[in-house]
Amino acid sequence: MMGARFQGFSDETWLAVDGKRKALEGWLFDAKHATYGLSLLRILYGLLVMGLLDVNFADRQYIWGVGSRWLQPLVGEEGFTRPFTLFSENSPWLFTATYLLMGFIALLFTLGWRTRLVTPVLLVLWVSLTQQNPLVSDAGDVVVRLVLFYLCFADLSAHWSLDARRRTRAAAQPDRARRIAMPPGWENLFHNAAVIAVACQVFIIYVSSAMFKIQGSLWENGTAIYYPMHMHSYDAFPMLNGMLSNHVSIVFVATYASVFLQLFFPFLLLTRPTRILALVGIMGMHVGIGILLALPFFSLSMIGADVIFVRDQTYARVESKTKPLLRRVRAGRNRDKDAHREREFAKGQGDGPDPHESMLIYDGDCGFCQRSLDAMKKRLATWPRTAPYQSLNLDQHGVSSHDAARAMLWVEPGMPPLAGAAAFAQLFRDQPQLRWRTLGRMMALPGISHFGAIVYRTVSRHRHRLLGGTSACKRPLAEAREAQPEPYVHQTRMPPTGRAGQS
Amino acid sequence: MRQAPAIEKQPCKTVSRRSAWVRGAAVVLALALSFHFAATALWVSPAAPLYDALAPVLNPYMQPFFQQGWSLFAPNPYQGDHTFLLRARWTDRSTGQLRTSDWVDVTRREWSGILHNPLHPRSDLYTDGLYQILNDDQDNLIDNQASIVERDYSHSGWDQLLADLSAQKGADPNWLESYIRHERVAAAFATQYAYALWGPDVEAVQIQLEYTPVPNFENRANKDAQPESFFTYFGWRPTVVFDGQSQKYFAEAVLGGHR
Repeated sequence: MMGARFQGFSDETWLAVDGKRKALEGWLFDAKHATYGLSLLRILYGLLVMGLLDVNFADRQYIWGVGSRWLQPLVGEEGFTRPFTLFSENSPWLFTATYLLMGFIALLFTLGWRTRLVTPVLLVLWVSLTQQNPLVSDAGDVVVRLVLFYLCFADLSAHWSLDARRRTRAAAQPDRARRIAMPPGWENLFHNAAVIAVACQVFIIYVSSAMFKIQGSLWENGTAIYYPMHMHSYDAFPMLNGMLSNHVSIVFVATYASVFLQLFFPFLLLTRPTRILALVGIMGMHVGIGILLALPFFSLSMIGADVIFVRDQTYARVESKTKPLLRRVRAGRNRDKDAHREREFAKGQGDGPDPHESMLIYDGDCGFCQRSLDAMKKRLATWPRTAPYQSLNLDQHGVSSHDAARAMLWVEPGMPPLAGAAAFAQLFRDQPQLRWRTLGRMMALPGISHFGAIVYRTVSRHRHRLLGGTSACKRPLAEAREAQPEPYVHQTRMPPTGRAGQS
Repeated sequence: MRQAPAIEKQPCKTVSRRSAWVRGAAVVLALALSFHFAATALWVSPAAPLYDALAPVLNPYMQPFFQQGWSLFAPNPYQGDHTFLLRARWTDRSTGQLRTSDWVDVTRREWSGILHNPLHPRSDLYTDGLYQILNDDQDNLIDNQASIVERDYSHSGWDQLLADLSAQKGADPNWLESYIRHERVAAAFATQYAYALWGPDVEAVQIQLEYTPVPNFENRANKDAQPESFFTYFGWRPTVVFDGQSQKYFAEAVLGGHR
C-alpha cells in the first residue's frame, strides 16, 4: 500500500497511461492515415503543376527564362542555391526541354507512378522554377513547396494510382512480388509524421493569416473583401464582383467568415459536425478566392492540402458508392455506341469499305508519323483501320485536308472528329487493357488534354525534321487528291510508284 | 466448399515485436517536428522579441527553404489600384534632336489579360510586383532622399545617385544598396519595354507609380465618388541591361498577344 503511494500513481492511473501510450503507438506504427486524402492531394497538386505550366507556356521565357534576366538581382535575394537552379540556364532550348520534362514529371506524379522517386524530383523542379521569379511568385508557390517537402516522406499512391495497381497485381502473383520497402513500422511512422507535418503547416497558415487580419480595421468593420474585389489585378469578373460586393450583408458575412474559419480551423476539426462546417466553409472560401480574386493556383494549393482532413472512411464510402455507378455509366455508354452502330447499319449506308467503323487518318508524307504508328501497332491489342489522308475522300468523313495535314485525326461516324493528342487518347481508350484505357482517359482530362495538345502541336510542327522524315516525297495536296489511289488502304500496302519523281 | 486462401495458413507476421529503434526514431521525429513548427510559428509571427532573441539560430534554419509569410490581404487589404507608367528618351537619328515618348501605362495593358480570365499567365502581375517593391522602398526614404530620387541621373548614373542618397543624414548603407538594386531592376524592365516599343536607340527611361483608390465601401453606389490618384515620381535613369537578357523573348511577350 505504501509502495503504491510512493510511486505516486495508483494502478488504474498506470493502466490508463499505458493504454494511452499503446493507442498512440498504434496510431503511429500500425497503419497509414489519411491515405485517400494524400492520394487526392497528389492528384490535385499534379494538376496544379501541369495547369501552371500550361497557362504560362507561351510566356515561359518572359517569366522564368532568358526574357526575365532584368530581374536577376532579385533572384539572388531569396538565397536558393543548387540543386534549385535547374531553370537558370541561358539556353532557351534547354529551358524549354526542362519545362516540358517538368510537365511530364507532374503527369507521372498525378498518375501516381513511382511516387517515392517522382515526388522529390518534382519538388526540386518546382522550387527551381518558382524561385527563378520572386517578383510574380505567390503564396501558393510557397504552400506547394512546403507541402511537397513533407510529402516526400509519405505514401501518396495508396489509391487511384498506377503504383496501387501494380501492387495489387504483384500481390496476386506472389512469386513475382518483389518490393523494396522499409519495414512496415518504419514506413507507417514516416507516413504518419508527414501527415502531421502537413496538418501543422496548414494550421500555421490559417491561424497566422487570421491573426494578421484581426489587427486590421477593415476586417473588423466587415468590409475588407470589398476592396480587393474591385482592384483590377484581382478582378477578373467585374460584373459578378460588383453584384456580390454591393450587398453589405454578403460582404460582412464573407469577411467575418474568412477570419473566423481560419482562426478556429484547427479546433473546428475536432468533432465531426464542426469539421464538416470548417471544411465546407474553408473550401468554399478558396473557391471564392480562386474565381472572384483570380487566384486559382493559390486556391488549389490550399484546397489540395485541406482534403487530407476528410477521413479515410468518408472517402472509402464515397468510392464504394460511386464505383458501381461509374461501371453502369460506362456500360451504358458502350450500349449507346453499339446501338448507334446497329442503327447506322440498318440504314444501309455502308457500301464499299464499311465507313461506320472508327478510323485513324494520318499524314502519309510523314515518315515519322508512319513509324510511330507502326511502333504503336505492335504494342496495342486492338488497332483501328488507318489510312493516309492523301488516299482518302476526306469529305466522306466530314473533315478537310487542312485538318488532316495539321494533325492525326480519329473519325467515327456520329461523333465529331478528334484531332492530335485527343485522337491518341481515343486510340488508347479503345484498348482492352486497363492501363491503356486509364492513360487514354487521363489524357482526355481538362488540364492534361490542354498540355497534351501543346506537346502534340510542338512535335507535329517539327515532324518533318524528326527521324524518318520524308519531306523529299512531299507533294501538293491537289496532286495527291487527283492520284486517288485505292481508298482505305494502309499506306504500307500502297504501291511506291507514282510517288517518287512527283516533287 | 471453397477452401480458405493459402495465405491464412502461413504464420501470421505482425508488427507486435516493435524494435527499440523504431520507437527511438518516433521520439527523434517528434522532437524534430516540434522544433520545426515552433521555429515556423515564430518566423511567421509579427515581430516578436522572442524571435529577435533566437534569430541567430532560426534564420539559418528557415532560410531559404522554409521561409514563408502569411499576412495575406492583411492587416488591411490594399484599397486601390497600383499602376506603373514609363516613358523613354532618345536622339532622333535624322534630325539629331532629343525625343521623348508619351507615358505608357504598362499595368493597364496587363489588366486586359486578367479581365475575364482568372487563369491568366503570371506575367500579367509583373508591374504589380514592381510597384510593391518600389512603393515599400518609398516609405523608407528620408525627406531629402525622396526629392533626390526625382532628379535626372540619366548621365551621372547609379553611382552618383547612391552617393547623393548616402550623403543624407541618417542614411543606412545596407538599405540604400538594396534600394539601388530595386531601382535598377525597375529600370532594366523599363529599358526592355522601351526597346520593344521604340527601338534600340533609347538612351534613358523614366518611371512613375500611380495609386488610384477604390471608392470607400460606403460610397460604392456613388458614381461621382471616384477619389483622386496619387503619383510617385522618379527621375530619368540610364538604360540598364543585365547579362543574359534576351530582348527578343521580352519583346515577343510584350508585343504579341494581349499585351
